[in-house]
Amino acid sequence: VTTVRSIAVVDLDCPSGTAPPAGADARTVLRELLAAAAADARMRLGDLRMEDRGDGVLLAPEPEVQADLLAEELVIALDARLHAQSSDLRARVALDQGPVACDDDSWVGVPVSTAFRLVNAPVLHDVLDRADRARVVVAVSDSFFRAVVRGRLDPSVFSETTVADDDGLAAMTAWVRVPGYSAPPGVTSPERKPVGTARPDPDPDRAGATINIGYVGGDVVGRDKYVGG
Amino acid sequence: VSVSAPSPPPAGPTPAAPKPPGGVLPPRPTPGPQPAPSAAPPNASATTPPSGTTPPATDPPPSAPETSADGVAGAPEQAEGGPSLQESGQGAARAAAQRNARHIIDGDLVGRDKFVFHLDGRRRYALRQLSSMLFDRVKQAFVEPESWTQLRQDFNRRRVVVLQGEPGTGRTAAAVRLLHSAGSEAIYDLDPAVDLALLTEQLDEDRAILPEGAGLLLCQPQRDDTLRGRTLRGIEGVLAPRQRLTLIVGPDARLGDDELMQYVVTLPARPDLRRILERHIEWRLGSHAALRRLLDDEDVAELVAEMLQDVGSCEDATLLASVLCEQAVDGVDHERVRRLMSRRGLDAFDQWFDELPGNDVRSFAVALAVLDGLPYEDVARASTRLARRLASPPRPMAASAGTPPASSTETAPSALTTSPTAGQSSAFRFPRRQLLELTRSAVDDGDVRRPYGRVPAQLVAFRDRSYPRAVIDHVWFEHQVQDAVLEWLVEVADDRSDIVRVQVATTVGVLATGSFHHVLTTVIDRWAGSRSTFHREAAAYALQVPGSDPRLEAAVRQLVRVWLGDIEGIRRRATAARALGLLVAADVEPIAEASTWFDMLAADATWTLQQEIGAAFCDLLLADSARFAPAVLERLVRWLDDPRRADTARLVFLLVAHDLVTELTTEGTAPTTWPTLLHLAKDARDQRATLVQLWCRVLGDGPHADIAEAVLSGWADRAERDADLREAFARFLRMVGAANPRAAVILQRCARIWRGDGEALPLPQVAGLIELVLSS
Repeated sequence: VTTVRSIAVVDLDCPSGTAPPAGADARTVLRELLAAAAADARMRLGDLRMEDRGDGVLLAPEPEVQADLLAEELVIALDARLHAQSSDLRARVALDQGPVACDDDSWVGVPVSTAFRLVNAPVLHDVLDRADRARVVVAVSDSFFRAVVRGRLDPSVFSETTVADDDGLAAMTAWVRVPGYSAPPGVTSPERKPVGTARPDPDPDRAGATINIGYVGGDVVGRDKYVGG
Repeated sequence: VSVSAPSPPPAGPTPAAPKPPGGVLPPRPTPGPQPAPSAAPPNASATTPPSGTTPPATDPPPSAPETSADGVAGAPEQAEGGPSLQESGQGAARAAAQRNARHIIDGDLVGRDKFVFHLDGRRRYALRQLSSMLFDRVKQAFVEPESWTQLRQDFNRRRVVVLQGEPGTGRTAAAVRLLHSAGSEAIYDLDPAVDLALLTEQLDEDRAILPEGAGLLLCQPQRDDTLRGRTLRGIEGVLAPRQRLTLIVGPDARLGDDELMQYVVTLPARPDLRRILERHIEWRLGSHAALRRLLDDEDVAELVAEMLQDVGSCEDATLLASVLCEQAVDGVDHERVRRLMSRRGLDAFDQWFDELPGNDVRSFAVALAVLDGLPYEDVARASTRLARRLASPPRPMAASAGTPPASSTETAPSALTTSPTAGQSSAFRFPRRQLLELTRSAVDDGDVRRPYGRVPAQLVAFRDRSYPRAVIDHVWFEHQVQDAVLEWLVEVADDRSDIVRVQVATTVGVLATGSFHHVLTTVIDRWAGSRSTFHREAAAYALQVPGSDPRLEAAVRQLVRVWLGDIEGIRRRATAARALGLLVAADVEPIAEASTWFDMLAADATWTLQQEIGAAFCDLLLADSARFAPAVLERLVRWLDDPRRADTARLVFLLVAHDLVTELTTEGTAPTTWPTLLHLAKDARDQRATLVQLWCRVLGDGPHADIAEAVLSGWADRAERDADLREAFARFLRMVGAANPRAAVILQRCARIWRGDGEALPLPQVAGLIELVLSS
């Protein structure tokens, strides 16, 4: 049976040069941390439908569990739990939502693939390396961002990035956040780039040397003129 | 393409050879003595201005003999012996360079991230995109005040919000963050002088102009007496669902209106200043570890504790962070930190500029202000020239009208000095990385068009788009180096690169808005009387800037009229023709009045005048083709029937046909470049017949048929490379051929040549299609 659910994948990480726990050890640590975090976030552990996947854990919460609680309360609680630990353990969290099905006790569907792709994206490792006082980094898919974050959470703490991987898959847009940081370090949002780095194109042939007759007002291609009055 | 002087009507048309792909390098004017004008000067009646626009009888503007303008070293000169064509698309290229240069004027890129509202009669209110430096600070190092979640909820309840808070509590940062948090994708600063009632009307009229997710920020409105609940309700009504307006007011703002109170959100107390300091240091140094290394130093910790006691605002805390970070690598100099912080009451920008270490770095900043966005080497070369000038003993700038310079360099030393030792070479003192850091600039990979084609380049620009104008204003008004700067600008203006020249001219225009008479007499008037086309063009570009300033508009229009009526000064008349087009394009001069002046100029015009009229018409079409094309084309048709203006009409039309190109972009495909007039003929049905008529006349009338064929060959060359363009070209030529048998014969001959009979670079597809449509 296919249901629309939020999907979260959580994986453990350590500061550069330190190997994170692997296999059963990692899963045990993670499950304990998530259970504690869920309790802190006032979420029922059973509703989260945890499933072991490799060294990490996949969460496919019941449809009644609000996605914003997952993306905000649970993440913040996990961050707090990790900060409270004596070890240097850190976590990468990826979120998406959409139709998934349970096949032989294992969740399948595009959101599952997307979440795994996000959690393993090099950009997440890089952000976590730069954010040296952080314990958690979160990546959400573009659709999750638009449907859940924008409107229900604070989108200003997220920065847009592009996730590519080694499998030749097309690049996808993702939004990254590091709890405790005003913005994830090292991520330059593409949507802001024209503001900070816009340059007058010095190539007149291409940049505006041209006029778009088809546009009422005969404006410059790619540089529409906004003049009121 | 270079063609010869006007020739009598050919007995039999001889089509010009097709242009090689990519075009021929423009036949740049070469230095040398100026030949005598080829045509007689217009007679007295031709210079009679239109009624009601008589040049003033008193207080004429400076008009030094034109020969005085030719002494500018290295100035390229325009051969005036006869008509010639530069590289195709040059008119459009120059206009594009000028548009790009406008960010110097406005502190931002016109057309991309700046809106201009015409409110309160003629007054214009600029709406500039928020400084990227401020946005980055807020994005990367914002410290949430208490109750941030509640504040966000209160803020999100309305699209118009009045944020009220004490100064120094981080009101602007909070407003920016709240707008960003509410989904504003681009944030714009509103002029504090804006009248909110008028803004409502304007937003209502131009609701489609602002981007969907625009956030408007109005800090400390000067007219808080216009703050009324009803007004804000009106604004809220005209804003699109995702657009927002946030006003920042102090605790003493007049908010007596009951309805207004529902828009007010009160900011909480400021966040902890140490947290702000640490966040900013962490962000600037790139890691928490680097922050700890800096603050764990006992001396630094002591200094920070001392300074924080004295710091009173969030902004001061960020400034202290900035000062500490700038010294983090080489070690914190306590005295320097104290000195810089003690000056924090002064304008932060002035402080930054004046603290730049030495004339080399300051010269780089000034050169970058003028050439912002251009290749690094262009900026570096200009910077070196300026540093050299500042190191030279000062000498007064020659004033063509005998006017003494507005200022002297013999004043007390300032941050920018002209002392002989101040600019001593230190080529290796500052590596580029450090230079960019000091001048708050950055380099981006890009490409730039050179005469031999497009090449990769490293483009350098200030990180903050408001800096170019701010640096220019600061240097001009705060330091006694006006003459040195003007001399330097004149030197750099002789650069052969259009983009460099245009940005320099625009800068001169910007300076003229503050010191009109001085800049006019020392630079613009000299350029206007120069034999160099480049100089005259620079004068026109420069004049457009004060011409667009309401305070100087009348003076500029009057000056242009005087030049237009100057029967002795053919070059100033040519400059005036060019300026006239630019002023019409900028909505300063009415098109109807300008047309009368163009009629006057077109009569018995020399090549110099003809090419400036052509360039002026290009400027008009580039500014607004839909609006100006009918007037321009109608003028040309009318001139063709007037024996004294027909020659001008033919050459001006060919210049426009040759110089204007239109780039069409379709998603997923490479852009194609069309001759603008061909694109106009394709899409603007009402202009098609006029364009056919014009082509029939220039091809069939005789004079300049060779140039006409050269221009047509340029069109054919572009058509060979693109199927859509080729089809439109063929359709158009079929109409031309059908309308005029003589033109049809010429086109058939052209097609034979394009087929490749003996030509090195044939255009077989175009030739085949043209032969087909002409024979059908």
